[in-house]
Amino acid sequence: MSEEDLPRFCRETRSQLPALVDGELTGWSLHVVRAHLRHCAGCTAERDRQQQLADALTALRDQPPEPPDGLLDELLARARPRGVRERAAVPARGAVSGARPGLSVAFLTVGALASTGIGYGVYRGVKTLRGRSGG
Amino acid sequence: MRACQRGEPDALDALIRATYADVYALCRRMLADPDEAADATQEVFVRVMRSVIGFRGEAAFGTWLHRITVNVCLTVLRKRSRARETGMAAGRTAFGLPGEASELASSGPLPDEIAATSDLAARSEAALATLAEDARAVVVLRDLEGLSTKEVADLLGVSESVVKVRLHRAHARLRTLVLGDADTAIGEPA
Repeated sequence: MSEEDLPRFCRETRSQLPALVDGELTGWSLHVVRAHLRHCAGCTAERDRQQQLADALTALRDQPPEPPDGLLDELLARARPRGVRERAAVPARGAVSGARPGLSVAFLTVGALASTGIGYGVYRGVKTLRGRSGG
Repeated sequence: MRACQRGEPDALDALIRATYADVYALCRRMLADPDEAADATQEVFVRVMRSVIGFRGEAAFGTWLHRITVNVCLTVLRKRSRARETGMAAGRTAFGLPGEASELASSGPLPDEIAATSDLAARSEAALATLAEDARAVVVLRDLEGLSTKEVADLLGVSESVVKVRLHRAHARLRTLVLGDADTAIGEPA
């Protein structure tokens, strides 16, 4: 029997089983699903299968794969020749000075003021020279 | 972390020692390939070293590192997918939604080999390796890493309903491989 052929109440119960197994089902939904499971052997068997898989995945979570020998040494060797600061070639988002955006704003402001000052000075100088040559 | 940002020489070593096993474990499960997982772990720490100065503590360090690791793994998976599209491999799997290019992970153990493994965790590990990449990513992130459906959807760039469908199908496949259920064993209602 395919899932589509099940009675509507069984289909709805089974759609709630993952949440039940995860312990996320609460309130009225929990009550309805539990009540259905009390008298439906098929859905109870399906709940048990889902619980078994959840247990298997929990066992998997508790046994992470071990890193291969030598990986730690390789990682440390790559990190040692140059420290973090030398490797940190990419500055923070939009920052000129890396980790200190406030300093970046100061640099940019000073740069803008200096450029404006130099430009104005050149303009005044050219104007003065033209005035002298014209007079 | 702060010591790393200050450039203290032993701080980065300590950070790597404390976190590399978890990073490797996540890469190993996402990629199902020990060599690629080791390379991905290297890449994760290269990215950490590049951006640790700019880390401002807006997220917890663990969350930040986790996101870098997942992104590195997804990059590897996308490269694999592109390589397959150019003709290096073929074979559809039942996990893909209509219109998705989901391919069969061919490097995992055979179902008979999985069934012959007595230890439940080892059997689950072997079964996980046989899942298609998109299905495996969802199982690893949702079931093993404990992320919410929304967090998984955001990381993978798909909708929550796609995550739920992939998870449902992946669980059905895992039940078949790990517990020996028939694919169609839905069970008779009372």
